[in-house]
Amino acid sequence: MITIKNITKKFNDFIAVNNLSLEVKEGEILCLLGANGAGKSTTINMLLNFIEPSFGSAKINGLDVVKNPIKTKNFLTYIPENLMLYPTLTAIENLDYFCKLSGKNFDKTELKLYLTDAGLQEEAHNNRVKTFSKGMRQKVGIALAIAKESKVLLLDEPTSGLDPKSSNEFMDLLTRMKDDGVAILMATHDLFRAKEVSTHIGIMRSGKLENYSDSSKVSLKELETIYLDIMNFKNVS
Amino acid sequence: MFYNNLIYEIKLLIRSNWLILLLIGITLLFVFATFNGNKNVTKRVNDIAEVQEGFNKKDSLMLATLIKIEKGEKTGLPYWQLPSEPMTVGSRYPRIAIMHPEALSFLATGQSDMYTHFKSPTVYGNNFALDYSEMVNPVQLLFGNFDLAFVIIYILPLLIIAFTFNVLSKEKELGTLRLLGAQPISVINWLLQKIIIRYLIFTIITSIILLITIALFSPNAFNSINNLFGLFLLIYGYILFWFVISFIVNIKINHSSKNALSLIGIWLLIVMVLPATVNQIGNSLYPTPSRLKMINEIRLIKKENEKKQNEIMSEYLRTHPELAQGNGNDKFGFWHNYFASEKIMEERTKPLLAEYDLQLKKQQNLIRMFKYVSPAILMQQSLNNIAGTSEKHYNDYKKQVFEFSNTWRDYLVPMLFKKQKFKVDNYKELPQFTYKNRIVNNVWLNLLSMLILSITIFVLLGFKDLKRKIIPITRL
Amino acid sequence: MKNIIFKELKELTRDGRFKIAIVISLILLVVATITGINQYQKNNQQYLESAETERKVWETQGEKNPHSAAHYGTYAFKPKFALSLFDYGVTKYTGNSIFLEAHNRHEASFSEATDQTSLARFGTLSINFVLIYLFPLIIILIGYNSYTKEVEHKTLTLLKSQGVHPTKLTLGKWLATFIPVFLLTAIIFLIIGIILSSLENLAFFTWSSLLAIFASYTLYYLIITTITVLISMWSKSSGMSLVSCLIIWIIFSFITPKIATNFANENHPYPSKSEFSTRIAEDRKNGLDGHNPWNKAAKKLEQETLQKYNVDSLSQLPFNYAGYRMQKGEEHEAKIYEKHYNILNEIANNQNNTYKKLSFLSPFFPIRFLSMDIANTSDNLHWKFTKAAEKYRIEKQRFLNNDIKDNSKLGERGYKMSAESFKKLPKFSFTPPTLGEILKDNTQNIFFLSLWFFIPFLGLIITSKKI
Repeated sequence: MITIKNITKKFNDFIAVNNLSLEVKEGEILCLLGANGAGKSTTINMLLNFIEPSFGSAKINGLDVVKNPIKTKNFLTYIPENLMLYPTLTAIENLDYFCKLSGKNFDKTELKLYLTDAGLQEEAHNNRVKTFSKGMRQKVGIALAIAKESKVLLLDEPTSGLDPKSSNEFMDLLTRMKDDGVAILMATHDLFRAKEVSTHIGIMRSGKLENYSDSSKVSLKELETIYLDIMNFKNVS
Repeated sequence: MFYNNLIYEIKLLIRSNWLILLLIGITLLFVFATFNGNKNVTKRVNDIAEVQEGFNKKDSLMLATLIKIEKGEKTGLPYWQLPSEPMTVGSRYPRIAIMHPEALSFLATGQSDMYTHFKSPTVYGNNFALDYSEMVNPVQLLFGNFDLAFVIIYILPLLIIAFTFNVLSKEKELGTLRLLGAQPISVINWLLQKIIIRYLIFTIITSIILLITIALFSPNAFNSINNLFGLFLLIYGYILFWFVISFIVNIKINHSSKNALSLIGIWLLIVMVLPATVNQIGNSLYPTPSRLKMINEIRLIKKENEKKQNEIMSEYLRTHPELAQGNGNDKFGFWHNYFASEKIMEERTKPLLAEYDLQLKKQQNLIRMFKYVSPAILMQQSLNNIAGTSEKHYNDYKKQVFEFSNTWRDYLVPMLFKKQKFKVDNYKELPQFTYKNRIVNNVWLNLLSMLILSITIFVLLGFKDLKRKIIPITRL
Repeated sequence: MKNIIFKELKELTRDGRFKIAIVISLILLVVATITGINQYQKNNQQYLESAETERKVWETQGEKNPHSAAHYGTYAFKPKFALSLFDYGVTKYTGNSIFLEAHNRHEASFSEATDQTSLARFGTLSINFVLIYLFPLIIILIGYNSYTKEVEHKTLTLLKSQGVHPTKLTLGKWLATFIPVFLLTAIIFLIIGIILSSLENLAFFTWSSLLAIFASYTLYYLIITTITVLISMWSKSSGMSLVSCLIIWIIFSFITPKIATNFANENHPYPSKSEFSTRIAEDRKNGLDGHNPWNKAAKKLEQETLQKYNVDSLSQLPFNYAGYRMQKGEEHEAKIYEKHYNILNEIANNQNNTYKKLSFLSPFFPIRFLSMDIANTSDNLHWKFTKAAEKYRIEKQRFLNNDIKDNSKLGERGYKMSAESFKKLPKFSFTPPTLGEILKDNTQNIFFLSLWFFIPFLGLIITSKKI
């Protein structure tokens, strides 16, 4: 579903992503770990074609994102770190608006169903979004992914700033989506949750993928050691 | 997508109170401006009515005297005041040449505050060099009027700027732009649609309020439906120009306060700095011919001519023709000499004045070419044209009055030379002045130039981004 | 405090927008100055030539009947004042020449605006245009975020925790907003002064007038600065502050003047020219007080004169009674004109007072009036000029009528005044009021400007302690 091949991004002299290759298949969750500035967000931005790669290619569902900037977005849903919606519109209206932008038309009961599916309590459906917490807004985002039947989910540090309960709920949602065959790429700082929810884990540093492992094959302790090793190495160099 | 955008744009605008604000703002401005414009027109109409009334009174008095004379009754008037003498009619009972306001004159004060709208050319004197300026406090001319033209030219763009300056940058600053960017749409197209929707909303609101205001305050305007239609088209064109500018600034700068500053800068440039600069430079390059010099030249001619005129008639009588005494042949002789002497003066000064007028016209035409520099100038000229208050209208009015004064003179003077008396029947067939608006208002041409300008800006500056379809969203 | 000012100024010099605004203003100033000098010299040349030619025409008209000469008349030309180069004021809308003849008082004719297209109504680029419209905008550009940026970058709390006195901080920011434009203005005025004093044929230029205008503008900029910084203090965000400042600027300089025009016109309407001349004609017919027309008064005058000289008939008088009567008639007419022009002047003053009274809505009014008054381009000056011209006209009539009175005989038809005598008529000259007189006339404007400065400044000091 997500294929990144030898991708490099330079901002003037600074190399944000360096010859990165990775793949996320259907029903997989790849968690990208790494310090700030490791290139996680840049990678996601390139998949969204917000930034054009200097070299290499990124593909979604087999389509090159640079050549098909609009088509590829039919397959994906993106949830930024701080997902913002129109504050004066209600949850249903926001969902309706973005669904229609994607060319999907649903009636009100269907929209409510998706919101409930995404875990947004029914009382909030008709409330204006300006009163919503970050977790609630993210649920609208997930509802959008469900409604769009997205095959790819791109998440940029979705759990930062969420309370543990909301984080937990969110991870449950991701697992459900994974089970439905969605390919998920998530950038995060949260080792613990990454280990819990992902199928694969990648650790990035200075734009390079330093470690790539199957989550089921490493313990949390081992993961932490690998992560710290990589980070310390940076400090030494 | 368009329908979806439309519904939600309206919803968003209503919930942010923007529509209400816009509605109230435009209503207040239009009502106040129309009210003011109407007041100016009413003053003009009242002034005209007053003059007309005085004229009618004088005329009926004259008619009554004429009837008395024809019946052979005594009038008790001295010889030189009897209206049975064609020259007395010519000097004491001049016709009145009125320039009535147009149906849409309330729209733009234009040059109407500087000129008079009625003139009574007499049978003698320099009718080709009458002074048409009106009495007015120059400070008023300096500050200008709060009329619809001012609201349309100066304030509507400001409202448009307030209405559109952050369409895109607000999404960016709010954070929704990232989500939009991840949808299978072209964000530029989406923005274009939003701007088009706002354009439609803005023009609809403006049209409705303007229509209602005009219907309430100046229903007369509906008699001139063509001009009214032209007015609305011009407003749409002018609004379009500002929306195009705003669209370009939105995609090129995309930062709310920088957008606002740039747009205000452009506004200042287009409605103030460019017109003022063009005006100043234009007048330096093609100066208005000097009136002082003209005065000097006329005075010299006058001085030279005096001898010639003196041979024909004594100067004292020339300056006081009403005091010419005598009967029959004497009287005839006096006027004969008078016109001969006046003719000399006229013949000599006419080419000078004509040349001066030509020079002035050339200069004005050149300056008029500058209207393409700024849509605000274009708009001002168009609105003045529709309102019938442009300098062209007043120049033409002067011309019509001059033409009329000749017709009138040609009616009376032969009577004098044929020794005919002025009778009631003559009164009935005296030539009358009716002002005709002979100026082509060029609405279509001006509209077209405005559209071409807007499209050119749009294509030159916005097309590349439209083709790319993607806005760089990062580096927030 | 020095520290604060330097920091703000340093930030400013790194701001691209500020540089662009300054560069554009300077370019406009250069264009305005060059075209202004060009026009001034041309117009002044024309004025000097016309005045001279007209005088020559007058002096060389040869032997002539004095009353014919009175009808032939002469022209009074309005001189070009040095500072008109700085502020055109209303000169474009008032005529520059008045025809002076017997029996009739004429209006100044041929105003430039009536010869120009309606483009002229947008205003003309002049030095004053840049100073009065654009410089306040630069001040807004500098000052709109003086406080909001500290709030937005959260540096205000940091500053306060450093123990800076809040009033000192405010004054520092206030000065930093004011100083750049002040320096710029000072340089501009210095350059204008140097240019003006090096021009030839310059009429009525004094450094003190220029200094007075400079002081007025400085006061105006102080007002704008204070209001801008005050708004920045009150606003929650830079955007809000900018929008508020711009709205105020637009209301001050565009909207209130136009609304005031409508007010002035509504409350004190000008008569139309025909109405005005009808009233004069009526008074001429019926006499000044309504029941003493000139032909009656003339009879009375005749009797009085006969009595005074103790003679039976006019021919026994030691002078030509025709000339004497003509002069008395002229004076009679002049009084009628004076009455009506005074009424008109009153209306004009009332209108201008309406503007001045509305000064509490916008400090633009007092500075606009003050600027053109000092530059001798106001309508005040125009009134003074028309009155001077009228005075000269009456003087001229007396000169000519006295010639008839003293040198001709009653009933003599072909009398001619000698060619040489025309030269004896004094030349028309018009001296503008002194700076002191102008400032005295403008105390109300100066008062309003000061008020506009002190009240916001007080607000600034009070607010500074609360922030």
